[in-house]
Amino acid sequence: MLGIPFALMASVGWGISAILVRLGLRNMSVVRGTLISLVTSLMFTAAVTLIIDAAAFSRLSPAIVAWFALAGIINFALGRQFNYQAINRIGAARASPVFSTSPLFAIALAIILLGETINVMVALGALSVLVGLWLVTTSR
Amino acid sequence: MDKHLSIGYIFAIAAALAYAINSIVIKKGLSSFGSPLAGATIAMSFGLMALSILSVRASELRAPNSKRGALFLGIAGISAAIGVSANYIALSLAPVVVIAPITSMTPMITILGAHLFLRGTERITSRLVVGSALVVLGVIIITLGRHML
Repeated sequence: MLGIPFALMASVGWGISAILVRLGLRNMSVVRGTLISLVTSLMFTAAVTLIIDAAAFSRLSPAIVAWFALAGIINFALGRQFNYQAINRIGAARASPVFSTSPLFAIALAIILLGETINVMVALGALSVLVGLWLVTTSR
Repeated sequence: MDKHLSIGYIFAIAAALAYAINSIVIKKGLSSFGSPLAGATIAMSFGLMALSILSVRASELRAPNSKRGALFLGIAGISAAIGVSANYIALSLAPVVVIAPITSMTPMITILGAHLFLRGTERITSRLVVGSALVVLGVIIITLGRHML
């Protein structure tokens, strides 16, 4: 499975990033720190896209750009800034498992907005996430 | 719980909620456009523009700055982008039920990194490790439950 090494690379990349954010924010405001990290993220991602899939930009329409613009504001201007605020206050080790609970919110949104139903497995997973979250937030 | 910590957890939950909303919005964008990497590039450009507006506030201009901090955050940005790019490439090569359980391991890698590099700053307790492991396990079960059943 060729995808597995890339999945491991993704996981390690995100993990290392959280540690570096904690170290970097010791003498830096969160908004400025988020801005710096977003500049380098954009440069790297744009370079990878131009190497792998430059032709994709020619297929863009105004509607597609609008969806990605909204995603960018939610994920990077807000999500990443909240992420860094959390790391700065509670630390990378405690913040990281809380960020990982996003699938739980995705399910709640899918139930509320899309009328999706959940099965026993999803309910068990949600229970495990909630118990884990309780242990993380009450650890000293 | 200490107010500083409580606000920190509220920010962490707000980030998780933002990522969940983003996963729905990004699906809309990708439904008629097949390049997640190009999508991420455009999303980051707009995110950067929005954040730049926030950063010109007077309080931000007076905020502390350091070359060392900027270096760490610059590398953190590249490291996060490697994560995003590698995740999209992984998902293009293997099904989500194979990839998501691996990428869900991120909290355990962060805890290991904190144990190795943030010894004086962060305390790693057995309660934190068990709690994080349960979160990871739960996320894996949710992913499998949503995509396999």
